[in-house]
Amino acid sequence: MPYTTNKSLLARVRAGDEISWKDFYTTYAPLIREVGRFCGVHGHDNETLVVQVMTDIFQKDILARYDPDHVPDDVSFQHDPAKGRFRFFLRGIARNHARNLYRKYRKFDAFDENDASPCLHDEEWENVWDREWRRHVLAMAMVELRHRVRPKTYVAFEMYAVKEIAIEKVAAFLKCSVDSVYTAKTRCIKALKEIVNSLEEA
Amino acid sequence: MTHHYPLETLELYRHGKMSLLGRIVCSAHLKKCPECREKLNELATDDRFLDNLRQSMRSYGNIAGVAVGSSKNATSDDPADWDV
Ligand SMILES: [Zn+2]
Repeated sequence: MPYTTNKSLLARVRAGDEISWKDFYTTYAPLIREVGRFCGVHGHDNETLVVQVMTDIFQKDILARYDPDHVPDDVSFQHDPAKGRFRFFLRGIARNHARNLYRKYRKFDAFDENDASPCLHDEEWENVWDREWRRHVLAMAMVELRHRVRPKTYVAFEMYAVKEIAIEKVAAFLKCSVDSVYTAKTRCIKALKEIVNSLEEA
Repeated sequence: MTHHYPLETLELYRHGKMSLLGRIVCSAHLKKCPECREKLNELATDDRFLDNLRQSMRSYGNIAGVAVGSSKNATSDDPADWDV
């Protein structure tokens, strides 16, 4: 797990905490990669997309000073609320770079309305981004859930509800009743929904 | 006071894990109890939530420290394979 804190990275961004390059990369690179893939930005370009978005968010000249794999921890990012909600801020930056890379790959500059890549169409882009953002938020909510419920409750939930291990096996493994596993599931879903709401609110 | 089924018992009901008699009694209760039917609906909503969560873990599980592969661990009988 990338964090020692019980707060997800999004909660820390929202709280105005300073976020290191490494933490940001660990958390948001998978989201940027996934959205890039849905837009047709693959392979080397996909990794370039991540680095371009990262450098835009941190400092544009960061690559001139550091190797992207060895950026010191004190190089940090602090979201400025004046730039709007973080999800939209990141969405705008990711789209600009995805679109540029996609066009470069396709070797055309003019807008082609028959091209279906979501990064070329406002509505499709927002749909892809919003869907992946929600999934990404759920992953961060799991980080917080782990610290919010008892370890045995979390493990029961992860085994039964996430990994879909048969409930009788989970109960036997944890030496508890089947009812307790169901209770853990209900409790964790309720907590997860609360966490997701709080992450989506700000 | 009206007896209602707790969520855990309704889980047993909907997953077919109740005794035949228990199932008949529960089914009869559900026909006349909107409150318990509502709880059953909530459990169905939770199923959809979990579908989304599993999809999320397939793409972003590393962030949460949850590894969810394409093959379900549930197929293994050995707890050592469960990777919790
Ligand atoms: Zn009832």
